[in-house]
Amino acid sequence: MKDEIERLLYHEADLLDSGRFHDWLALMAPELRYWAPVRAAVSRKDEQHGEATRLPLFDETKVSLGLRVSRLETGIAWIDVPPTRTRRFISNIMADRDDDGSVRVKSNFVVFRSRGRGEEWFAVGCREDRWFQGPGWLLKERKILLDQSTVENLPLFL
Amino acid sequence: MSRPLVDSADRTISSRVFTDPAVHALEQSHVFSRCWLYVGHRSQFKAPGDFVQVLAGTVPMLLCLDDAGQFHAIANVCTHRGGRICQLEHGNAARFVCPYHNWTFNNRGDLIAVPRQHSPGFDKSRWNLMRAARVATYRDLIFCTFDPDACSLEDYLGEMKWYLDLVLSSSAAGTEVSAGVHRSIIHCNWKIPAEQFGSDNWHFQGVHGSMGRLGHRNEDPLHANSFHSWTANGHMLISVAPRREIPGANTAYLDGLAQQGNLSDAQLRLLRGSLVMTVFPNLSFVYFPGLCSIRVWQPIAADQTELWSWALYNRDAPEAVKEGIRTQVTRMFSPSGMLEQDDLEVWTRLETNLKSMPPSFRLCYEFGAGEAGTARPFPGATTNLQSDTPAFAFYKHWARLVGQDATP
Repeated sequence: MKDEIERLLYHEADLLDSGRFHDWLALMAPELRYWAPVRAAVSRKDEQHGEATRLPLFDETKVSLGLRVSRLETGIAWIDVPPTRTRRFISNIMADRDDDGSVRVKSNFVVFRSRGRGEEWFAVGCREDRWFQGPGWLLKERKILLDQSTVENLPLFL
Repeated sequence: MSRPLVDSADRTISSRVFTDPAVHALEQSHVFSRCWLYVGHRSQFKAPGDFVQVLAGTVPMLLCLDDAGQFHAIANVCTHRGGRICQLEHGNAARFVCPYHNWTFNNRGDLIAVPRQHSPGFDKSRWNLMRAARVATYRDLIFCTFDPDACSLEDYLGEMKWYLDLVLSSSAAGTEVSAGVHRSIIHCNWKIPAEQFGSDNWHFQGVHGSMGRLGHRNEDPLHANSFHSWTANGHMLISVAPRREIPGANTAYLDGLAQQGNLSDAQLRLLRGSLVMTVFPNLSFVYFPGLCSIRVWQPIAADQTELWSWALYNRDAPEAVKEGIRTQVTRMFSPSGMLEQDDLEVWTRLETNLKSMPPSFRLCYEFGAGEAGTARPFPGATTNLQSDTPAFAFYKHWARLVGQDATP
């Protein structure tokens, strides 16, 4: 299973880095919950407290992600004119099957972003996913823990 | 003599206003040390001893609630060698111990202990932390000023209070900010976003054209409730009536608020549309039915701003309304937000361009200069939604403070 999950995550990263956003959306389950808590410079205990009701950094459904993709396709979403170059490195993959047949997957990411002629920066963090297997794999839940507490413009799918 | 940075004769502004480190230093000493600055919201404080790290201009501060229920804004900077006396973003503490030599201060900023003190005649009371001259609140918002001679906060806000009340006092229970704050680095001068948020509806069709094309623009610019307003002390706002009201959970909530009678009929009508406001110098709000963000444009350097923003809602709103507002703020006005992304991109390009131009380059704020004023039944001076006049009023006030206004 580990090999299969690894292939799946690499495939997903390839879709995003090559701008095939509709193919990427097809990996999302209709009931997807895709979110990221904000980070804070407080004790570990305080940071985990009330995480679910804290203002999130992402709070998306499949529909809202679809709107983001449509926006990029208008050709006048200035954050992507010209398109941002991204390259993601996915590692430290751990996969465990749950009783309900879903697979919990944890992975680290480094995303390099480059815009225009010389603006470069990184997004670094980890993801906790829940994938379901039907005819193909579908992502049901993704929690993204970005390691930056102060971020730059973040128009990325992570 | 060189031309003033802000020239009323031809309504132009020097690009140096947005790029020059000397101008940035000047506004720290003339704007941020004299104005009332937003530093926190009452709801961030639950118990005596609670503190929050904040910025007042470029100065790192701690906003603290003491045992007597008083707020103190004290510099997070040790008077001995400048150590950072508190490392956590927020928490609860009666005292702060500097990690460098363990000088210890209480949450009012008094130096209360110096370990192993062997200095005859050393007077601790001379080495209290730098602190704001005054701290005051309006509704649930906490402001401080370093100017002991500043006018009262209520006078400072003036006519702007009528508009602030739309988002701050539609419920008698008052407001609260979300736990959790969005922080992002913007590679532009702080005045670029402060200007846009208070005075620029025009940019929507350009910057946010993608959202308009997807049907996410619901504005009636010619409606009687669509206007720009600006008031004394450099405050300004945009009110835009909706083309049509979109029924939803929030409509019912607004209906309920109307019954409470805390706002006038005119205020309640504006609450059905959108409001984008800047309280001089660097506090802004963006409100749509079902979305409200309170945000501060922290002036880090001439070409760098840190945006701190929170979702804002009525304290007694149902949890579903609060959650809806958090979600909308995140999806639209956050570093990952579909509206904010394009703002950040355009502002960054603008700053890079201005830095590349010769210092003689000047920007046009002339649009709408010749229009005859139309009286509207709202506080402040008002004009239509496509005018440089409110923004120029902001810069005229700024120029008066930094001593750069040419007009009599």
